[in-house]
Amino acid sequence: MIDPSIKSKFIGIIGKQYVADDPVELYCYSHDFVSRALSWISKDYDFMPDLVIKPKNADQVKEIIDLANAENLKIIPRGAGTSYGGQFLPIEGGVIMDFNRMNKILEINTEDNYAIVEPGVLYKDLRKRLRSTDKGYWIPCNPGSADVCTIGGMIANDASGESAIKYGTTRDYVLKLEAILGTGQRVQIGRLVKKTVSGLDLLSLFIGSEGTLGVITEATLQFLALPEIFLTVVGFFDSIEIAVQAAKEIKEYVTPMSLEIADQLVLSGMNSFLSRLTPKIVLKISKAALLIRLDGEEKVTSDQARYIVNLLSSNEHSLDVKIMRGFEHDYLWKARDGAGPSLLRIQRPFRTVATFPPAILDFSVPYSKIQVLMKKFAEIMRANNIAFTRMGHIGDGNIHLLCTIPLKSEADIRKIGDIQDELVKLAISLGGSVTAEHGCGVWKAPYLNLEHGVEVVDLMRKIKAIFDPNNILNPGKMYESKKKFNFQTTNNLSEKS
Amino acid sequence: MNVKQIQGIIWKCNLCGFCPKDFECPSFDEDARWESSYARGKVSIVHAILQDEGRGFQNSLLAKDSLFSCTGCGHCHYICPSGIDIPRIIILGKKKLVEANNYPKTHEQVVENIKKYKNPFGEKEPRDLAWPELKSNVDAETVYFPGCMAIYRTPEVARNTLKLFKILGEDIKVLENETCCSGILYRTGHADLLGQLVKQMLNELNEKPPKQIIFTCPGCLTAFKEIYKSELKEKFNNTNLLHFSEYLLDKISQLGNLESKVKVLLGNEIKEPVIWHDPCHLVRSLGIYNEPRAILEAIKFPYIEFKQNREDSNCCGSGSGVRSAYPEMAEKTTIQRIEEVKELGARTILTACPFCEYQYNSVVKKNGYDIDVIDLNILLEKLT
Repeated sequence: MIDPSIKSKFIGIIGKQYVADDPVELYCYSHDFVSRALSWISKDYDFMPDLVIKPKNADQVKEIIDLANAENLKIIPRGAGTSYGGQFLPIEGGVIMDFNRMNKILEINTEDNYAIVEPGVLYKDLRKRLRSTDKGYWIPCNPGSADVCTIGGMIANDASGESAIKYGTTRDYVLKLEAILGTGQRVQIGRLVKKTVSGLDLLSLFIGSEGTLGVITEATLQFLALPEIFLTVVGFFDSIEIAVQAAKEIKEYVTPMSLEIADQLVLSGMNSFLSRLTPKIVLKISKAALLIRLDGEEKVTSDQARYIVNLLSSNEHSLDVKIMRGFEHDYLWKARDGAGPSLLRIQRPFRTVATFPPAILDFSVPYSKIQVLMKKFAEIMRANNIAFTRMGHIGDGNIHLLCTIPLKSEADIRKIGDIQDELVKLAISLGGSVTAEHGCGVWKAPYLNLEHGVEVVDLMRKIKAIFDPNNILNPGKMYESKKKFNFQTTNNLSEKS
Repeated sequence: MNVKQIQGIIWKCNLCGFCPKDFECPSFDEDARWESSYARGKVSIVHAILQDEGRGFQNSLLAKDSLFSCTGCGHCHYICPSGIDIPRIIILGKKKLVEANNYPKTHEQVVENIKKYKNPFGEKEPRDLAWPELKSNVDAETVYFPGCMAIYRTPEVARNTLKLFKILGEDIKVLENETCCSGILYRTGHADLLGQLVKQMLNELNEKPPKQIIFTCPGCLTAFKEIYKSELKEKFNNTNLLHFSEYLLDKISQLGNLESKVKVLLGNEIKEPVIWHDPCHLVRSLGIYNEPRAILEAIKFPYIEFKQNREDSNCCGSGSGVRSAYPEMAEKTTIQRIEEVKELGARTILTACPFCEYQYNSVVKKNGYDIDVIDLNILLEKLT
């Protein structure tokens, strides 16, 4: 419960209609998927904010940060609330700063190929604007949440997704940021140029910092010319191991825009998703499929597709290969974007609620280690009699390991913790990372020491302290591995492997 | 569906945010854009109510407005990648709020009217005034269920449907104990009050199961198929429950050659272009979107589509008691639809739901739009 006098100050800054303290509204901002499931077991996982506020401009953001410093309040910046790491959870209470009123596209500059936007702009709206310009442009990042996420959220989490293998991550398209630091200082970071080695790269430091260093109030993003065509080769295999090998062979020939893997359950989920679209397409149900999206000049791209079709067709474990264009191509990728949630369409009913272990959701490992990781995951799941599935951006080594574990008691929460610990240790020992793209947030923060070593994480904390000395911005995330919940690891994971 | 079953659905909402924002959700508050006005926010609210434990969520005005402003259009269910039946979750939330006496007071009157007069409008005229002879037509194997809206608000739909039955030579009757389908009670959280009237009606059906029951109101048909599914299924498996468009499709040739009359009608009585509006219950609850189109194509009747159509169509703004409890919101949604009609250059809205027709017509008249609204059965009757 926030002090009424402080609430009045927020109202004074942004207006009454943009300050919410109704408990029902606050409750709507209190969960992500994981904490929602855990909250059925214990109210400890209801992370109620004290207020939700909606600033309209950078001046208001600055006043809010100044007020937070003066009153020792916590501020949690929030975009569309679609991240999977618990980045937007107010685990220590505080004020959620929702950016959906700062949603203007300020400039589209086709002379120098950049767009200036406010942080609450939906990525889909910017893409629509860029596509509708005379020549047609795009920013080639494709997070699964592309249709709903905000630009601010993408930058704060360095979102990437399906096209990172060829086009990199959001980081590669941010030229410049305006932000209010935790100190209240207003800064401009970056220039209107792609190349600069002028001073330390604070821009890069800021991108992916999950709202812990400062609050983005404006972003300048570079865009590219749209490719002439997109098409996708889909190859179906009778073994997931063979599919992984085949993907490596494709990588040696060409770097596709996307190189994705989906196992049998994922394909079923995608088919369930596709069944509601007209006209109908149905994917062949097989042990695994590769989705290889190509883009570029028509002749070159078509030649590449033909080569890949021949390559895959000659594989004795290949069941079918086809090229998808037009609506088939578009539907396929819609289904791929919704593949994770679609699994719940085919999930057998539980008598209780359930969740997935969030810290195993988003590993990246060197390509040669993918098989080891997937095999161990399968062994653990089979030993625990848990249905599981494997999918993701295999081209860049980013694998999403998914399983759904029913929750009846705290013991189940600890079980999830144990499974996570074992797999995280393995992924890191293989030279990988605990999170390729979803972010640290709450759920992966405890593993940062293991991945980077205590000294390095301590260095990160010191950097955070420069930007945000009072720790008012998004506390309890990334650098802070508090063993606050049983769900998080309680094992000794402090040593770097 | 009980609380435990609903919990089993709620956990599947991973708050991905794919559920319709913007104007796809009729109850989305574009100006405020608070989480509580998104579909996933409404799921959160039901979760909160079920988890209440003394926190007072059941008495919240915000919870009431958020849940009862849902028209039950089902667009969120269609969009949801996880396939979650969000409207059903919301109905359970409404039920909990009704138990806490926290619901729109306009719905109290609706409940009383159904109890007292067998219709939600409080109309005192008997339901069968227009066709008393049909009530006693005991030998007929086909039942026509016109529903309250067609009887009391859009009687031309019921009258023209009867004419079509006559042309087709279908021997029909109406139910002796016909009453409101009570779908509105279910959708406003008053399922416990479905009560005696409906039971009498269902008993009548059970005593001598008809071959088929034909509905012109997709809402009534959905009520029979969803709410009374188990009761009806037990007693008469062999009775088909059909929307008129399903029933007519096989028989369209029996109406004669209508093609030649289409041109005359379009030149005179009906303003071109005509746009087809898919009613929410018809497409998303019942999966009926090919049949009306097939009928129009069979008679070579030209029409255009909304940008979003079939299962992805947008709500007219009415439904689930929203028109009575939140009339401004309902009107705002209807205006959005009409503005799209204008943008697409259409001058007549054609649909197959008395509720949609009534809502469109009310808003057209109130705001002086130069748009006509017509039901499919009225169009067909004009052509015969």
